[in-house]
Amino acid sequence: MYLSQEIINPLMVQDLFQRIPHEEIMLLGMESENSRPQDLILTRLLVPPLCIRPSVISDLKSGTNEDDLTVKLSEIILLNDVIEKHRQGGAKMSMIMEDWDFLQLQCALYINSEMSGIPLSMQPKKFTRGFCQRLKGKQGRFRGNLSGKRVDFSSRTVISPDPNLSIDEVAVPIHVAKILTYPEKVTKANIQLMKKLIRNGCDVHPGANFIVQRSNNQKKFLKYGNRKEMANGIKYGDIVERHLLDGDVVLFNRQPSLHKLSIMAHKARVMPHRTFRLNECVCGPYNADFDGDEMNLHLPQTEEAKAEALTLMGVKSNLVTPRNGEPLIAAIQDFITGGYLLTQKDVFFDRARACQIVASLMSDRGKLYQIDLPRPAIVKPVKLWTGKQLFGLILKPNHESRVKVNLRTKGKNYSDSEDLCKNDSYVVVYNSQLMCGAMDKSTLGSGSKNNIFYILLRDYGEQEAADAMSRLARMCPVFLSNRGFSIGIGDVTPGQGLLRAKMNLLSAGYNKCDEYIHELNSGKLQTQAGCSAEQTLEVAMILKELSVIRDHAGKACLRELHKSNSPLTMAVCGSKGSFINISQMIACVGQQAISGQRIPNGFEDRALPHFQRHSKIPAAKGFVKNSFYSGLTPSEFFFHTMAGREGLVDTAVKTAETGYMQRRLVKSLEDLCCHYDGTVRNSVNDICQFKYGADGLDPAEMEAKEGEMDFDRIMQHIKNKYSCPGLYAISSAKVKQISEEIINGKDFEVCSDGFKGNLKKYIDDLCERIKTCRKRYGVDEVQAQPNVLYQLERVTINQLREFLKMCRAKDIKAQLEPGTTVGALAAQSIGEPGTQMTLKTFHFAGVASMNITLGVPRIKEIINASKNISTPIITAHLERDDDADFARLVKARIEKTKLGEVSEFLEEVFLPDDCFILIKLDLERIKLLKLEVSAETICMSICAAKLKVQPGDVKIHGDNLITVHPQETAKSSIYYSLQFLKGTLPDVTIKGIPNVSRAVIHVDDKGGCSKYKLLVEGDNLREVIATRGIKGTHTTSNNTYEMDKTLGIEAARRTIMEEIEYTMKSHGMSIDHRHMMLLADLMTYKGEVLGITRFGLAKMKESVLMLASFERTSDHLFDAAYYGQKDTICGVSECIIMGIPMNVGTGIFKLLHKSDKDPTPPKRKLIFDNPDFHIPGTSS
Amino acid sequence: MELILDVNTQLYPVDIGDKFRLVLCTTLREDGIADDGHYNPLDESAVTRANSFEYVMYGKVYRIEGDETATESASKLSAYVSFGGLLMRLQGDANNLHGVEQDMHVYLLMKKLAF
Repeated sequence: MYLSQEIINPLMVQDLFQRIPHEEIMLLGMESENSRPQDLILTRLLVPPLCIRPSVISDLKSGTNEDDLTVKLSEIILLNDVIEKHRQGGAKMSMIMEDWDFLQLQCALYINSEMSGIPLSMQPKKFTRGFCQRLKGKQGRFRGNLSGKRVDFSSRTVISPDPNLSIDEVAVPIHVAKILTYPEKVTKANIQLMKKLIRNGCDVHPGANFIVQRSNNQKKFLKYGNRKEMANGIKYGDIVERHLLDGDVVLFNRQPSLHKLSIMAHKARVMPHRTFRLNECVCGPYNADFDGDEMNLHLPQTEEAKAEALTLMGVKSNLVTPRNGEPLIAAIQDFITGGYLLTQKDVFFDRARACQIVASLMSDRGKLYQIDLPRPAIVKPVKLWTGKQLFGLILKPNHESRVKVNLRTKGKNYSDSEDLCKNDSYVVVYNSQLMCGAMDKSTLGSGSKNNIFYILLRDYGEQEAADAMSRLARMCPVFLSNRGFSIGIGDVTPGQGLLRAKMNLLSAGYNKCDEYIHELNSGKLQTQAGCSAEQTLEVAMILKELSVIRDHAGKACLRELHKSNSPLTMAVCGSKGSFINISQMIACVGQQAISGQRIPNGFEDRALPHFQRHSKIPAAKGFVKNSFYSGLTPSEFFFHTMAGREGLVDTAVKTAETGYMQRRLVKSLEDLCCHYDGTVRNSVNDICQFKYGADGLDPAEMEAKEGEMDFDRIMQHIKNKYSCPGLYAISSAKVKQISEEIINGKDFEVCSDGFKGNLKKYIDDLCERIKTCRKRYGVDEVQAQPNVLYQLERVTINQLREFLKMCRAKDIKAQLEPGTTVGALAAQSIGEPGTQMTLKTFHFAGVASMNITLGVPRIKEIINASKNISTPIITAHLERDDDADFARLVKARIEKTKLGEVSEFLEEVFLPDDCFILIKLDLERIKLLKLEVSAETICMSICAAKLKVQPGDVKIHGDNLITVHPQETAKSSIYYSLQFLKGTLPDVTIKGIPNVSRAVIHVDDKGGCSKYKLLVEGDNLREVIATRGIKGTHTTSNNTYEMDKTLGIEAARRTIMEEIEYTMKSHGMSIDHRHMMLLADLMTYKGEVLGITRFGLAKMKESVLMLASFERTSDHLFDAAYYGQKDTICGVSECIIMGIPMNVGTGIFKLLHKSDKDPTPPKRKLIFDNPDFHIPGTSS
Repeated sequence: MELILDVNTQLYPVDIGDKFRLVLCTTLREDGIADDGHYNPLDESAVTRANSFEYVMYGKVYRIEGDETATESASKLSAYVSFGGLLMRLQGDANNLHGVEQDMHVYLLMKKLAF
């Protein structure tokens, strides 16, 4: 007899499992070799050794504190004994069963203490750490001990600035230098030094802590014992653990390490005092300041590590960020101010002062002992040097320097007429001499490719750029402290003119606002598309008006303040602060906003109880008309704190969010790297891109904004560098001929066709320019005699050759090196700017009423590949984009229109024999809205609207009258049906696409004629494309999932790229498109859009260790155990966990040996395969 | 000819309507031998062309530009000289600018003329 239900205990299960035949195990997905189903049931408990569960002798009470595991184990043993005792004592079966269950639970908790499904009565009282808890989480075994480990030879202390250090140096306190040691092998070259170090011992700085003798591998401590004897006894090959010395390569790091520039190799310089010191120029990549920041310093322990660190992570090798190729290490703050003030037009020095400033450039480190003072710019009546002349010495200090930098660019305050700009803000550097223009943020600071040091770096290499930057860091503070630059109360006191200007601005703005409010109250306000009158007033009118006041006040400050005003100087040259900051200090703090709106009502119908209810005047909604100088009123102060807190909360929330985003990005992209064949592959050699970024160029080497290099600038540079005096200019035909010859020649075979094409195009342009220029001045193309007219567009043979040579060299340099970890770079380049994204989370898409999400939330949406994004918008182009009526027509087809919106009335009509609902359509309105509906189509819509209305129940009476007759059903009476219909009929959709909430016409007034397109809020891309009047080929959505579904994976890839780029751009951040391309390729290369989440990652990667070290550690491990998975240990995470070199970057190349012999040795026959041994009787 | 010139007016005040003589030359030496480009405060002879002038500047021709606005048959040229940041633009017919070459060092000598 069979029981219908049977409780099976583990023993029975094990028995069942055991009896599963070997062939059927495959069906369970288990790999039979290593595991069988019965192994899933534990018959013995694993007990880890004591070092895993140490017992600590307690200080407070007698005895020891045992580890959670030990406690649990003893509990299990106890329970076991109890069961045994009960069985022998013959206790009741139910009691034994209860104990058994409890034992089962304890064993389960031993492995995973956060198990779910425990009955309430048996819930453990206090939290214990099981095996799973030890593995998972940030502090767990995987992330805390395997992926990241604690290291020796590291140090951490506060940082402080020192402009006298070169940019690739870091000052290390003697105290630290005596603890960090480097094991140096004694050789013939260093034995004298080593002897001296040993004699000094561990307490005197250039000393040593230990020696290890080669002969017996014994480590000797140098604090005690006879050091002189030991020093004399050392032999070649012994190892001396010496103190850190000047010039040692150290790694310097500041958390959060968001990009590769957060840890760089510096050269150590041992100095007194207690802080690490660095040149201020290097603050940028670390994002460091000196308000108490601490940084870490590590000393690599082998020569290989030192060499690799210096070439790959060295400060000089990382002047530009791989994010977009812009310089990140550049002059900051006072250096910029100093450079700006030094290069003003009215700065003159007599010989003594000039020499004093120039002398600051001298340094022992840079081996600069000679400086050539140029001829004075003013010879008579007194000899005077200008600041610009001295600035030139930063670039080229003496005639031995071969540096000839050339630069022509607009400065920050450029007005017009090039060189003769009235703000002197057109910078021309000619052969390392500053000809005109004041240096400012755009030519000295980071984030600009017109930076003078960037030009130096590109044309003369990293050493020259670093040296020049170090010279600037020495000269500018010297000049600035001699000149004096400080800020006082006088700098923020507004003058009469400024006060008047502010009052005028305020009263004008207030009047405007009053007008708008009045218009709103009288109902005359012109509403904007898709907005209510109140919204229009808030967003479009008042907020705009008030935020303009502050900007105008800033401009007024610029106009009214004297040019010696320090904050103004700083804002003008871009070293610190903006005009808004100045205007807030001096004139007017301006409108306070919370999430882009004026301060919302915190009280009943008002923001603060100091104001009238429903008041909409500026002051009641957070406008601060006072300045920080004049002081805020209590209510203004309160509004200011509200906006201030929003900023604080936002930063706090954003750091956590971006940190997690960064981690996910890096985990998914870490193993992508460029291979020798130019493809980008992951660790299991799946191809992600056939050519990195479609052109195989390194983002860090891109010189121009668009494209590889700026030919114009190179040409100008060559012309200036090789002036070729006396040589005649060559004709355009000759230019063409020579360059064709070279470009098509052997030298250029290594360059890509695309590059050659660009170069040829430039040469053609150049020829055209020469031709027209010669023609205009009426001279022959071939120069025969000296003539000033040939100075125009002059190109000599030498110059042309040098130009082509330089272009070729730059192109070859720009090729991406095999092994580059492009994935990690892309992840960092996208993740790091995320941390800098400010509050702005919304942005108007063309019309005020249509917001699109921006900032970190939007980036998160994109990389998560969310299906439901918060603001899906379809941009639809029209077949006729110049016709407003047509646009309105198409809009009506797309936008949902409800019956209620086009009806004059809906009435219930009761007749003696009938009752129905009478709908009267507003034909005028339908016509106005250009709706393509008639009474017939509306009837159809009503029937289709799931109202249980049969086609026979709807009747049409004329053009504009429809009746709907309710039917009595078993569930509802006829009256109820009527009421139900009355309630629901107005909401029946009569036209439009489902899932589309609304459509707005966007007008683009470019070049005189208006272009119309539709912005559709909603998800239904397929239907929108299919709508008549829409240009389907030009219609896109910002929803990747939607694009994938309707247009396919390539369209999704494009959307990912474009959306990330758009989001970043609207926050003023530029990222090389190659990074976005790689991310998009990674998300789509499997054929479906995979998000950078735990689900997407599990589909992209195979390695268990990598997945376990990411998220849900124990789940992945259990799965791996069940399926018997193997891990080839080829990815980055796995290699780190196993502690072996990874095969990306410098680990990509292997020694390949081409053997002339057959590599597989011949297989020897097994001894027992010999048939002779199988003959019975032969062996005795 | 058209001239734009930055002058250190603290040292050498110039007023509207002043008449002056302006000379451009490549060397200050009376014998006309060109400078070697390096500054050496010791080897300055007393006899120089500067003696007969009141205001002397030293600079470099860094740019020669044609007339971009003219469509056909232009003849005007502009030469830009920078005296350590104090700019001079000399604009005029090409025939008057013969001998001016890019990258050339020039001295500017000025002297006010009495009426």
